[in-house]
Amino acid sequence: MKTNSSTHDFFIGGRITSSLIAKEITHHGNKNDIGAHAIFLGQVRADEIDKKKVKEIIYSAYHPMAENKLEKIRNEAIKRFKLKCVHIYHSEGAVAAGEISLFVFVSSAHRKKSFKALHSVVEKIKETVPIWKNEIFSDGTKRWLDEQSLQK
Amino acid sequence: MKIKVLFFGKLGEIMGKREMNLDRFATTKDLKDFLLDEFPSLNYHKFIVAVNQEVTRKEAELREGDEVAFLPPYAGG
Repeated sequence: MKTNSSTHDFFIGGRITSSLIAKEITHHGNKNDIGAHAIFLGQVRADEIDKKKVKEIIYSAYHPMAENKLEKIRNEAIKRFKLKCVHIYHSEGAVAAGEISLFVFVSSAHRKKSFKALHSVVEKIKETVPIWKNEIFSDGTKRWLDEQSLQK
Repeated sequence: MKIKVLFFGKLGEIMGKREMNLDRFATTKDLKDFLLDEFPSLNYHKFIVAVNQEVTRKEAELREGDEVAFLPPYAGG
C-alpha cells in the first residue's frame, strides 16, 4: 500500500472559493524568478437535460490513488516544462452549479511554458485521476457522469 | 485470508455497497468471474481494476491483504 508522501493537499471539501484562488496568486508575489502564471478554473455547468437543470455535482475519489496520480502529474509537469510551481486543487463532495470545482495554477519564468503546461496538466487530470461525478438535478434525480453521457 | 474490494462511482450503487471483504481469490480474473456471476448487471458496465492502487490490464495474482478497486471511466477535472 502506497503512503502519500505529498506535502500538497489536492482535495478541498466542497467548492473552491475565490479567496483560495486569490491567496494562491498573492502567495507567489515574492518569487522573483516567476514571469508568468497560467490559471485554469473548472466550473460546474448548469446543464439542462429533459427540462431538468443540474443543481449540483457530487465528486468522489479513490483517494490514495488519486493523490498519487496528482502528485505524479505535478512532478512530471515541473520537470517537462521547467515550471517554478504547480498547484492543483480538486473539489470533493457537493459543488453547486456555477461554482468552481477545479483550480490549476502553474508558474514559469516565461509565458510559453505556462500556457503549454496548463493545458497538459488539465488534460492529464481528466484522463488519469480516479475521480467521479454524480449529477444531482433540481427534481432530486441523479445521474452518474461518464464518457458516454458527457458532451464535449 | 482476506482481500478488500472497493467499488467506485456508479458501481457502488450497482453492488449495493462501496466496500466488501472477501476471501482471497488467486487472481483478479477469479475475483472478476465470481463478481460477474453473483452480480450479473456488472456485465453491462465498463470498469478497470486496480490492485493496491495500480491499474492492472492483465490478470494479476492476489495476495492476503490486497486492496482491489473496481473503477468506472474517470470523470474528474
